[in-house]
Amino acid sequence: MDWNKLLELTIYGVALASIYAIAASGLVVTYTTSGIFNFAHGAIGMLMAFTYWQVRVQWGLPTWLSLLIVLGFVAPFTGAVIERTLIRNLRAAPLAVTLVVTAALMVGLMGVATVLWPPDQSRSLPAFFTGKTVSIGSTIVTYQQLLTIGLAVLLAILLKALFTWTRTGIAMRAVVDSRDLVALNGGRPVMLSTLSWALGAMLAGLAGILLASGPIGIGLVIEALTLVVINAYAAALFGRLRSIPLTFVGALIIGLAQQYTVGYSITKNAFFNTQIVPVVPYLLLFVALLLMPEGRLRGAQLVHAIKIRVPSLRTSVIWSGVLVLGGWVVAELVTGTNLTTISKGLAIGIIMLSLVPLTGYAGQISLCQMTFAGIGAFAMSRVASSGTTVGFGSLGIGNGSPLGLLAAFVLAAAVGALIALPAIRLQGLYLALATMAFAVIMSSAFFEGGAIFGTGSTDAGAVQRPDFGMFSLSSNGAYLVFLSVVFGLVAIGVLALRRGPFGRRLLALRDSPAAVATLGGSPTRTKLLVFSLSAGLAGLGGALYGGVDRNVTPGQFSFFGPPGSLAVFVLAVVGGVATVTGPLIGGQLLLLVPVFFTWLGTKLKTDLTPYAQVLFGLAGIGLGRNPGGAVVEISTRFRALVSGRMPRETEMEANGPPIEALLVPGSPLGAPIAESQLLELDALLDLEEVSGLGRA
Amino acid sequence: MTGPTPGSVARAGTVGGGPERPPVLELRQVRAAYGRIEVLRGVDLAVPEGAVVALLGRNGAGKTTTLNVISGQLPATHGSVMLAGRRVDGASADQLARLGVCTVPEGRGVFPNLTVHENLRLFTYRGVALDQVEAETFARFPRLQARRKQLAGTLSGGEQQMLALARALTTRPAVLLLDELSMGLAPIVVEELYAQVAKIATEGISVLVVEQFARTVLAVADLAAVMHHGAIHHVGRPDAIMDQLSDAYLGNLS
Amino acid sequence: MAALEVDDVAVTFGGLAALTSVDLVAEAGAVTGLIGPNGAGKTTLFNVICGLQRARRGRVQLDGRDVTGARTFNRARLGLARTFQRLEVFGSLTTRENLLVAAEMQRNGRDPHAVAQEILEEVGLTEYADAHVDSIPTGLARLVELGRALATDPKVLLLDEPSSGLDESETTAFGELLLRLAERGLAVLLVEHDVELVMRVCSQIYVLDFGEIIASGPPDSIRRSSAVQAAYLGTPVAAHASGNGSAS
Repeated sequence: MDWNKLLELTIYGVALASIYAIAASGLVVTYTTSGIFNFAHGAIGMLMAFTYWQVRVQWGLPTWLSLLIVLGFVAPFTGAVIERTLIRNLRAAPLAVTLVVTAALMVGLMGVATVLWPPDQSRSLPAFFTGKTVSIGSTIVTYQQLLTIGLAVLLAILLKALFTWTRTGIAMRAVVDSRDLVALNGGRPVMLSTLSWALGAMLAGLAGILLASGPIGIGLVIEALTLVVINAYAAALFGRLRSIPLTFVGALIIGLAQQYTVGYSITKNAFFNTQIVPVVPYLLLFVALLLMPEGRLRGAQLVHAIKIRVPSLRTSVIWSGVLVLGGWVVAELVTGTNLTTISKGLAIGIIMLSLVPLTGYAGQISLCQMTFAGIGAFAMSRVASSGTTVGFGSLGIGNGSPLGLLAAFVLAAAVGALIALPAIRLQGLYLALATMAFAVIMSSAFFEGGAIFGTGSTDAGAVQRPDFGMFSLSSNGAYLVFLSVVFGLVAIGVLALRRGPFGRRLLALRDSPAAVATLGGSPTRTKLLVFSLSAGLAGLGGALYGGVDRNVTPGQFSFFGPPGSLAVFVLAVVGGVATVTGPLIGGQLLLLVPVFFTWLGTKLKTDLTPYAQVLFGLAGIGLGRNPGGAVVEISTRFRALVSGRMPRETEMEANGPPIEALLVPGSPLGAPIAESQLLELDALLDLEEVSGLGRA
Repeated sequence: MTGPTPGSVARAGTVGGGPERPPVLELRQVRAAYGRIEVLRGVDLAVPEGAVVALLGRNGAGKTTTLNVISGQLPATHGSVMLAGRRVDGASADQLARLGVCTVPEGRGVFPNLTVHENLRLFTYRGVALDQVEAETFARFPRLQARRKQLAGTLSGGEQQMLALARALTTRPAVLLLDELSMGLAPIVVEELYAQVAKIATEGISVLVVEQFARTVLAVADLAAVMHHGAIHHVGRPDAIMDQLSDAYLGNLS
Repeated sequence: MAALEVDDVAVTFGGLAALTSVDLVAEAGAVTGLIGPNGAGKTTLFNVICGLQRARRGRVQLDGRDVTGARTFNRARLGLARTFQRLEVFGSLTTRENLLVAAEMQRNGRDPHAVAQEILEEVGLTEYADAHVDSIPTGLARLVELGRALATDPKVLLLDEPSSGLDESETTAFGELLLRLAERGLAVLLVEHDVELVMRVCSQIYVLDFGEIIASGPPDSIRRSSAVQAAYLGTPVAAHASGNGSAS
């Protein structure tokens, strides 16, 4: 046993754990106090690290001043603004909506970072106390590591003090117990919520800066840095998103596990070291999920789901016919990369259709649909080809055998069922977290392994188009028409599903899992089935997506993309995930908008491409609040326009009472009470002057 | 600023407060609905200063909904809520609480994961010294003193309601809304609680009580209102109401 | 052998006893009443019976079969159905779809659409068949819940305050419906605040107070029980400071 090595790894591990603990406790404080899980926590940490780089390196301000500016002002301000503008209105919203909004926020913030700090330039942060070290035995410890560990200890003490000694801190704990009761006693839960977001953003920022300047060499890379801050989510899960001490324990487990796996495998297995070790925190997230106790079945929620007219079979067949006709016209008119871009958009649309039963009907969230798409593409590449040179061989059934599509569906559905198992018994948030972890793990450990889709130099990424003998799909135009046919068929199927028993049960499950159970249905099994079906459809879409270019790259099936699972989810919701038109629009938006921005950029001689991502984020944030998405929004307004009525009433009907109405009683009907009036009344009723009651 | 004890407020001489003084709390033709389902269909109710008003009626009559409208948790769709002669409907729950309307909601009105001490400390924002708050509380409910460092969730049901009452008083309210204080408590404890409620009223705080143990609450009430189908059906002195009670609750019993 | 038998059930919530040793029997072909003040533990008992709440102690038997450890949906498949005090309808589905969801979960070979239509007529909801349930009045939504429970073709039916939100004539009709259901051989366990209704339709009544059965028997004996009156109306406060008001 090499004790020195163990000591060294342990110190490294504890330092890393300290950063995770800092980020994770920020997440926990935000979640418990405001009730909203912030998927964008990692992106905020990333953004703050870049801001710090701007101030410290670019503008050359001293370290202490830079830290003060970023952590003392920019981060809390950003957190507070996000809470004020986005989060506050989500209090009474269904879980799915809150997740959509914060996921869209993540997309948007990463877009902002790309705009402000284009990735074509490499940046790095200086370490704190560069070069200064102390020796413990023969182990050398940097000051930065000591600083990091010290900060985590200090944070633990400060948080303990905040929550025990200050009234604000006690009030934050009180909000966790009962938000309503705090308000009924005159506390301001809303202020506490803002404060928690400010604090959360500050801690995310601190973690981001420590990571970017620290020992593990992440550096300032937007996606990598975001992902590493997200590592901390697993630590928060060990604390069940509530307990800060347990979160620190979770962080310690993750930090040490990560360093030990690095330290003890480096000479043995290169694949393990480069592909598995980075995702150890995400693997541990699954462990944490398995340890979560099953909660009680949720009852009905007050928030009413939007009601969407379900087209009849006849209508859906007619519209699918129109779509195919449209596909044919486009195939005749458009050529070159524009044609393949539209085709890809349509294939992504099919992948987004897979979210309709899952998210649109059952209200569950998946952030790994592109992973399933990748599995589908993989199945297609191995089944429907005559032979490949790398990993997993080939079944060699023959070029373009339609059996490949079947294999894509079946394999993705099977993997989907497997992956949902640990999280499906828990509430929707945990399924969303599990799918995100799965997307990251698969991306690193499977797709990027080289054996699956190659590394660019081999033909392993080749995905055949299906071959139906009599119709040749070898021309790009014919393939687009074929994709329209498949989209139409899947759409007809998804709508038929909605009209049938399974669709009814999915909506019933979303409305009240408890009632479903008392009628003899197993909520877990229904969720598992729909998740598996959804994964299968995404796999089918992925196989077809691969056929557009006849080739795929690992990055396409990663979490961030492009196109990426995150954006696929957000844009499906933007389009309208409870309808089948939504995915059609969403898919085209995802592919065409960046093309448009790039084109516009060349006209204006600047690079506008990153703005597409910002736009997606904004659209997701805006439309995520309307669960119907763009399609419903537009059709509601259109119908109102036709009938000459303002859409207000229709919207109210569609969404139930607006969220604001639940937050500020009386606001839609009577004018809210003016602040001056309140002060007056306050003085009037202050008990020092209570004898003056009623005299005014 | 150190607030005087609520007892410094002169009590309105007669029950009802007299016509020259507007009631501390008044509801005029209040309607309210959950979604599209109207629960309150025009509630008129006045709570005089320093009086205990009991709100009675069957389940589903709209008692708790009435309290929810007053406390700002549910918007009124019509009508007005007046506090000391001013309209306050439209204010949020926390604004109303700072204006002096404090609610002890149904169930246990305490924060279970906070200690007794922390529960009491939380809302002393009228600048009252914590020592004073605790002294008052322990004078009123001596049983809580020994439990000072204990988590509220580990107290007995009765102690929790005492703490809820005491904590509500730390906000120095003008009006106290109590919803089913007796829920799940033994009769002896309920009596003790209501004796304190009566005492609180003598100190000048107006109390509106929703309670299913009608006899218990009528013994301490100055006025009673019976709700039926989302409206006040009858208002009167407790002894008059008592006679009609069996009917309202148990049907034709005797 | 009783259709439903509850033996010695106890439930605690964080140290507070919600139910202490409850015994209860509901026979097939009869309506059994369960009354008691708010917070007495009626809904908790329902949750224990249908498996939404784990008991600390005690047993639940359906038709002589011990289901104490069984999952909620497995109990439902053995013929247990319930309604909820806080409505648990599927608001984004229509009335008919609500019934269909329930009927489709059964494996008794009957056509779910026929079952749904039959029940729509039986509970009198044909007029609202195609209305979304979150847009109909509460009283009717309760009937939807009842209909949905019936669509599972149950042997034991637990009803949690089914009449609240119904007007007088609707309540009368509802009482008759309950008696018809019992006649058909169902065991109905009824939690209800409308004591008159309970007295009219129940053959056996249990009174729950502080998580304990304080009285049980036929309606007449319950009516006369002073313990029941005290439980419902409370006892007057003997001595208090202010001396205002007066109790009879």
